[in-house]
Amino acid sequence: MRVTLNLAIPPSAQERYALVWAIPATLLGIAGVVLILVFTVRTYRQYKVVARSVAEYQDRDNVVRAQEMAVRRQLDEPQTRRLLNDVQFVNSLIEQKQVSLTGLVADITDLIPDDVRLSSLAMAPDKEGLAIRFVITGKNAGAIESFLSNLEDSPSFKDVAIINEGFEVTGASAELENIACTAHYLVGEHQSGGE
Amino acid sequence: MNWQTLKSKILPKSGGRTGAFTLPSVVLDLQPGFVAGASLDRKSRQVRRVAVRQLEPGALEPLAGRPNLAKQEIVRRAIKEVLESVGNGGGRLGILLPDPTVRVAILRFETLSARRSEAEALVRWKMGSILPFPPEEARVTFQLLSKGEQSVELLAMAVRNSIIAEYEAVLEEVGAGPALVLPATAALLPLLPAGNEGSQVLVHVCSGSVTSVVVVGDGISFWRNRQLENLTAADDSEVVSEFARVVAACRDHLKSEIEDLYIYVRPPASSSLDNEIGKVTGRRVQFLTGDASQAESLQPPEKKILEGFGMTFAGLLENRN
Repeated sequence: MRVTLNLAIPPSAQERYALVWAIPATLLGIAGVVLILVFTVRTYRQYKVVARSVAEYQDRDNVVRAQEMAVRRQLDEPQTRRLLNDVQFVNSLIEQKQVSLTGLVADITDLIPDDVRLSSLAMAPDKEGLAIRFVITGKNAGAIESFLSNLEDSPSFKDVAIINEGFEVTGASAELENIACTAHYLVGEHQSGGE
Repeated sequence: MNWQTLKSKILPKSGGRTGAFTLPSVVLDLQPGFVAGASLDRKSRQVRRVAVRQLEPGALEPLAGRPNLAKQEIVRRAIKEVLESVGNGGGRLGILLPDPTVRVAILRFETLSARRSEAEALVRWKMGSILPFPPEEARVTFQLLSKGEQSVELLAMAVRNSIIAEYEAVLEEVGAGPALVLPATAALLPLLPAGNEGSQVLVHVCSGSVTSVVVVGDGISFWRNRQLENLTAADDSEVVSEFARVVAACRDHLKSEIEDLYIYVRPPASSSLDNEIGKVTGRRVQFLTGDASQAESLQPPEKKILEGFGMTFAGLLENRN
């Protein structure tokens, strides 16, 4: 008689193939661990590089801060503060300067005929700009008029006014005519700038 | 294939569903007086090696409801010595248990579910009445004997899980869990001549217990196991009486006349036992033997062991699937 009975419990597929599955699973696990280790080491190295870089920047920042503090301390010293004030004063003067004396003289020189000379020149700021006072000495009235005419035609001046006129006798019985006049110097209208 | 089927194939079976017969390369036969073991060549159907070791009395007490291995260390040592002789095969072993440890019943049902789990639940419930422990603690297996329009007949076996675990525990050192677990007498059934339409009786006397099986055609119609109290090598009267009772029961209840009587006694019986049984039953009694070709590769001492203790191994080899 054939017997098909068995009181033993057959192993499940999981138990039967446990060893077969264990090998690739172990290999996969080892590969995974190796990958994680490689990734960890790489990340750690990157972290160290970044940390070193941050430390360098912090050191540099500290140095710069120390330098700044030293400079600030230096600036706070009385001698340096005085120098700073002087510099600031000079700079304010430079900023306030609007008329070039060289330019003014060049403009006036262009207006003066050959037989006229400039005896005195004064200037003073007023509410309309810069008022110029001329004293001209000429050999004759024609030369003086020629100067006045040039002055009035000049684009650099306006509001020409004669404030005094006289004669001067020299040793050889020759007479020289004097005239004092004022005009407003047009700053910036024909000048490129007043340095 | 649905999810439940797939899950049951993949995951370990928590409920302890038994499997089909399989023949491991090494089988151990654990009986109260001895431990026998054999390595089997499944291709050539031969016994390669066979060995036996005596067990001291009380080391193994075959009980269905209580622990069997009173002296585990002694049993373990005997198993180790047997396996050293035959080899452990490097895999799962087969275990043949003492017959009293396993409860066997012929069950009849009007119908039986085709689903294994439902059929097993029904068998478990039906066997509950003959089990000396709660049926939910039983490991159950069954074999279809016959199926008619109005009835289904099964040969069912049950063993307590804790007792199987005990035997598995002594095998822990030598390998994984067993691939085959059967009562020893079940391993002898394939040795009965096939194609016999009449009734055959097999009586297996082993270390103080007698198991009687009546086989009609290809089916079993009777299975009984009795523990004999006064059995000695010199006094076989209890065996003879049991034999007579079985023949009478067969005639009265099964309405069947016994044609062939087979007996297998372990340790080997006195030469007069077959004559005594023959006198009582009026029939010639034959000692159970296996196919001689199965023992071809064995040395004479091993052949003697095979004849005296290892016919169960020969039966397993004969159990062709």
